[in-house]
Amino acid sequence: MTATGGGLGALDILILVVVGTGLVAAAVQSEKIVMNASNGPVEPVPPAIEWRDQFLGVTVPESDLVWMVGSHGKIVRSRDGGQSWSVQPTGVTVNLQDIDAWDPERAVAVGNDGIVVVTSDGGETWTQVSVPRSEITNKLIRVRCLDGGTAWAVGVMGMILFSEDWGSSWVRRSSEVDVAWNDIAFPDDENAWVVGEFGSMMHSADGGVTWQEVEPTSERSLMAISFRDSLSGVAVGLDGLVLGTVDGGLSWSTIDAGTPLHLFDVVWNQTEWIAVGGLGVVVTGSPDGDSWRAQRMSDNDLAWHTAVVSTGDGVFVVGASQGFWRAGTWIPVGRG
Amino acid sequence: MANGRISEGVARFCIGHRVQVVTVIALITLVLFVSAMRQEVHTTFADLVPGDHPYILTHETYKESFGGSNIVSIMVRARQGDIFQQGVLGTIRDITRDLREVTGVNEFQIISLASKKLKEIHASTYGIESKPLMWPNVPEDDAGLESLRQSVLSNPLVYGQYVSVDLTAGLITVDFFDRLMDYRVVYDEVMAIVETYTTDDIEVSVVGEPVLQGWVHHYLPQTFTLFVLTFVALGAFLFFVFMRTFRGTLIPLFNALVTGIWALGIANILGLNFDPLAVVIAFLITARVTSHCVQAVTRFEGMVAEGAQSSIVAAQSSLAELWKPGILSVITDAGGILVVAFAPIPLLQKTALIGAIWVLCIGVTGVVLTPVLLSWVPDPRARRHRLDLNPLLDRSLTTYARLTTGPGRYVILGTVVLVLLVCGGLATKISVGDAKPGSPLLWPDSPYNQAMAAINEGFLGTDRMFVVVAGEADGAMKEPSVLNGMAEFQRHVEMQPEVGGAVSLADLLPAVYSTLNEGNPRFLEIGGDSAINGELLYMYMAGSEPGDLDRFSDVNYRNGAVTIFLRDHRGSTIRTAIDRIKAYIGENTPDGVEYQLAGGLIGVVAAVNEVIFAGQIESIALALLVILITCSVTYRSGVAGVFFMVPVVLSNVVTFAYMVVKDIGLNVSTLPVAALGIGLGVDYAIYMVDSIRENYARGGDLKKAIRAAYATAGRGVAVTATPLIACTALWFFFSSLRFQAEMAILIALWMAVSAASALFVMPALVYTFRPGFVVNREEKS
Repeated sequence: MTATGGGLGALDILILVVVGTGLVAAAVQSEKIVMNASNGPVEPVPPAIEWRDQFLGVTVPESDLVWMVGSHGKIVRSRDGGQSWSVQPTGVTVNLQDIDAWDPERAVAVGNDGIVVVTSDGGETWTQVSVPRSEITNKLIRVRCLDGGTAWAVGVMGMILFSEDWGSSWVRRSSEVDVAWNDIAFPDDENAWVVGEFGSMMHSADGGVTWQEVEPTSERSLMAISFRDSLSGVAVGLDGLVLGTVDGGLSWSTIDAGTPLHLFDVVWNQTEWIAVGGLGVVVTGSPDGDSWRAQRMSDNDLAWHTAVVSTGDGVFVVGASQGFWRAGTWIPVGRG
Repeated sequence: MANGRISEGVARFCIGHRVQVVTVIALITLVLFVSAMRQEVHTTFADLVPGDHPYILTHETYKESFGGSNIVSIMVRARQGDIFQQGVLGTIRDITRDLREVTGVNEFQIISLASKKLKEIHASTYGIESKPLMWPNVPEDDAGLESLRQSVLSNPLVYGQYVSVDLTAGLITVDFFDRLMDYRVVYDEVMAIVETYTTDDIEVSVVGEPVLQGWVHHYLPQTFTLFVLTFVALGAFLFFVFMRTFRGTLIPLFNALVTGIWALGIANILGLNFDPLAVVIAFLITARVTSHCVQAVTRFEGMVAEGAQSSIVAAQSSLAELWKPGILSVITDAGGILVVAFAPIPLLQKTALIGAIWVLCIGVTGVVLTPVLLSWVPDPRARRHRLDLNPLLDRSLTTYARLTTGPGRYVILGTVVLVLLVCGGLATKISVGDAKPGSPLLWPDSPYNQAMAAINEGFLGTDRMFVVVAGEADGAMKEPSVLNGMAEFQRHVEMQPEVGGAVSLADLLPAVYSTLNEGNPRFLEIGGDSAINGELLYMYMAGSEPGDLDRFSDVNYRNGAVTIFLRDHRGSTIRTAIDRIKAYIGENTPDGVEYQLAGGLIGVVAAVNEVIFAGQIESIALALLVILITCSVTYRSGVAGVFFMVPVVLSNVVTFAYMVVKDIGLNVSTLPVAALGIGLGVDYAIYMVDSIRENYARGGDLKKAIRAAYATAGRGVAVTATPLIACTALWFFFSSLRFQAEMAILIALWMAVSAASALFVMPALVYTFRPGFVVNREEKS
């Protein structure tokens, strides 16, 4: 058949081949074409405080500066009294349990696996430091910073650690026993107290160099201890346990705080004792320790809280939710 | 000329043996009618998914434990106060109980506050104890209610998932065995439960794929009524306004019916079922049948007007003249539709096949049967009623002709370029998957979409996807590295705002560990080695039934699931989620396991979207290729092939642009309509250009040829397109299914563009460029 015999001419064939090839190529490569056209997902910027976050420890080294630590090695800091937060990378992925600061620049945080991280630049960089470890299991629960760059950390397996160089190096100040120490407090330069599982208590009269066991007042675990001066102190624990002393710890009395809920932390707030715990409970005690009252911080917030710090005009509380407790009002921060 | 001889031969044979032709067609129609009556209208789940996609394989392997795509969520909301009232909790318990009676239900996957599966863990004097939150009985006193309230609030696997954040609503989820699923039965039974328990104090709403499909079926009678109404309206239009004769009205409608019988009959013989949403496509193709028939009638009338001696002569010459453009457009259309079958989704393949068969049947009914029936018209000049809009129509057509053969044609061509640029730009933004938050099948104020919005507001999200964490060995789910990896993975996934949350074994263990440590939240974490985690799992399982952990892990703790809750199922939401997961797992998968995407409803939809996403350009390109080849071969001209791509590209970009503007995404339901638009866009243009060509061959004057074409082919286009477009308005105003209303608009728009291409663009192109296949045919033959 010739070009003029009713068949396709050379030009027609050319058009067919060129256009047809183009279409076939487009069909075969369609996935690539579409992929190139789309820019891929825009990576969402997560809020500093995500809904999965739980914070276990908090410190307020100066007014409006709040540092929180918690799950998944997260450290967040606010410079405006909790209105805005920024995440400080630590490289840690285990839970951090507590944080304390010597000043706005220097701080130390501790947590699971015996992790200790320190900063000397307000948290721009956090550096992990090595500490004495137990062969069995390691978990540091509390850290306290004292004058002159000294610090104490306590945890499971009877761990009591001491540092006197702003947290750079640590030594063990206790023997290994199967008891978890949950908190440590210093009423004055000589005296120190640790509290822990099953009502365990130890006292040191030489600034923490040697420790003596104290006969337990209760078998319930003690979670926190705090002193307002060298004589008056309060320890709190599970099932609403509150212990009080007015003689520097020579004697401890059990106080009925009016709640069966766990209490996880206690603080002296210049005017009253404030303890927090499970299901949004807050317990307040008069300065002399005589009159105590338990209530819910909020009807809608039944979160547990593990730490409370004084902010002068009230307290800041962290846990499964975070916020200020001021004059009887709960002001949540961080989440919508 | 060879073609001419074939056309003449066919015409002479068909009209000469008209009794035999009609008898054969009638017999076949009778047989196929019996077959068509057995045609079932239903949706089969397996039809909706691309069977060999990796997500679907994952889904099929794990769906019975990790959650299928047919999960139904029932929300029980207290109209006053929170759910911690005996009445409300009692309702949750009763519905949980009644659901066991629903056909096809997976009894082990009915989960609510009142099921055994939602538990709390207590430390007691005897050790750790895990007991159901509210099974078998609702608390009887205030103290019990308050204690339940506290348990709910402190349990992250319940609060937000099975009890709403504001505590005013409880959720019951129920899964089904896919193989026992009959959407209509489940819909009826579930809706009966909803009705039973809705009171002045308690509101019950329900969502889920079976319910959605049930709603679509619920509106099926209305859909058919609309279908019939549309054709009555179309008939009225044709009779009273345009054709003005019974033959011009009844023959197209009769042929539409015969074509439908043939198509559905053949489809039934081939074992193809008809999806309720494909009714729109039936409408679309039936509209094409009518167009073809009207072309034949118009041409017949033209022959009569030109002085044909009898109906037989007029019928024979119109058949001869329309044979080539008719068969060409039928084949082109069928090819364009068949291209949809390249998408590996059975529903699309079946729809494409039925559509192609239906269109090919037009070759018999529209092209052959119409002129054959017309040959019996006793007196072709009689029986017109008096109202006559034809002078008006003629005047319009004359104006169009003057426009396209005058300087006005440059305005037309300029407009075309402009439309191509603007709409083309818009069209590239088409979203794959659903573009709206609720179900795009129903109106936003439909009970279903309102229930959907309410549930998504109070809970983590109604739409689920599970990602399988497949272990290399038994016990992989106890490894701390695996569990912590899953927790980190969940944290990553949850950064996306549309993700309500993600749950896995990694959320369950910390609560047990903390309880073991005197309820101390400082131990809300995963155990440090696999032995501890095994112990925790053992404690959690103490006192529970086998299968209680099914939604988190298999019994050997080898394979686990991370279930992700999404607040909507828009295409963009799903794609972002999938892309982020893929990017994450590459370098963050713990040793000893492998993440496998993706099951649950969203996993299935993701697979479908990926297939459509990859296939969208492919199907357009292939549809254009079909047109290029068929038109090039028919007209012995490559230019012709390129020439007829213009109206198709035009209607395609306008359709897509409209979908972008109206937030209609490309999904399993809309794709066939959009794709059929691509394939069917060309036949008006073929009739028009072919008519110009025939007329030019007779006279040699292009301007006259174009004017003559307007009088026959152009008139046919105007006469069918106008009423068809008008009739789709019925669907828009009266359909309770948003999908059909939107598709009606889409089809109307597409027919308008297609008609405008034939009436303005093609003549203007022909007159301006004088393509060889139109004006040079004498030289070639």
